[in-house]
Amino acid sequence: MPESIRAKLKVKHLNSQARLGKFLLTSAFAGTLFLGAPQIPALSAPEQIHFDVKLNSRQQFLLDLQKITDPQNQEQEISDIYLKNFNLKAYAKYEGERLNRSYGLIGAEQHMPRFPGDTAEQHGQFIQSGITPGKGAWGYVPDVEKEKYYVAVQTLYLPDWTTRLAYLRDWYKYRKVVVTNPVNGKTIIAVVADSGPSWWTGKHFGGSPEIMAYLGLNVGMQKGPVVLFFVDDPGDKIPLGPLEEPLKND
Amino acid sequence: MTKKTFFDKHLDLSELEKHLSGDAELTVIVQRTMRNHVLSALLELMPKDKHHGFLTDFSQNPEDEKHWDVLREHIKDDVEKIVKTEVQRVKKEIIKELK
Repeated sequence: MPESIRAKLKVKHLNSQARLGKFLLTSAFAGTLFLGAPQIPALSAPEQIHFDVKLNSRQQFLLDLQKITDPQNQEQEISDIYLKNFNLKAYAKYEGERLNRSYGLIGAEQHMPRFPGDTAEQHGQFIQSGITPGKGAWGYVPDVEKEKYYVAVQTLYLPDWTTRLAYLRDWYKYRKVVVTNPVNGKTIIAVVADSGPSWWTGKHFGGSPEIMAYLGLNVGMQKGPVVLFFVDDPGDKIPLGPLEEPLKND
Repeated sequence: MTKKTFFDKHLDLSELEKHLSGDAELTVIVQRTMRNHVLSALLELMPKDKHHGFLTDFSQNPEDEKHWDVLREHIKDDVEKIVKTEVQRVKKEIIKELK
């Protein structure tokens, strides 16, 4: 299929999303239900932690997170908890940009193609997750680590996505984020490498097979609540993958 | 991971398939484009105060056939006809691009 036709159909798709987006913005969905979340549980209480042992970073982090009752409105407190326990500077709003949600449901995504002809089998792990039929919103993801630890976020539903497209497209490409499962405290550093999921899936973020497995969300309905914040890492020094210990200062 | 919607039975892509030449990515894009337009067409005819309830229920269970009843309750015109007409309109537009 010629690239020109492919591009035209993608534009048509964008236009269809813009048409539908008007209803989402003007209805009560602009608020907490903007993206069609069904019932998102509050940050769940963690499993019982025994206090006769020294808490590791994740356990202490989990205890602190447990105090959060309204994650969408306690973003600063969550930033403080990341900093305190992981020495991680993470924010819901960063460089003036923010997603419609910093807390929501993440669903399982497939592997992303790293090059033309890439197959799920070539990824070695989580082959059963499959691979997306086409490229992601930012094309192929040639970097192995970035593909392994990628998230999809709903950039297309940002109120200023169409008016600031050129800037935002570049800003979000491979934007480093931190994702936490508040139920078990598991936390992982990832990058934004795709757009989605559609609002009507009831999900707000998508996670690579590796991310979902680490967060413990690759079972059952393959979705669950997460906190997703932007990471302040201008030097690109924080490695992608699970975050188990506090980051060391430079 | 794409869920089905209650109106997918009307998204007949057979006419488009010969133009799409089995291109999986484009097939997904076309399907999503149609779904977005069909939903928009329905919402345009539904009273604004009913949007929130419909969108909430739809997002929770997009496949549920009961959505037809809700639509019939709030939209005067023949709802299935609206869906079919919108599908045809979008399909024509897409075929025009593919030729």
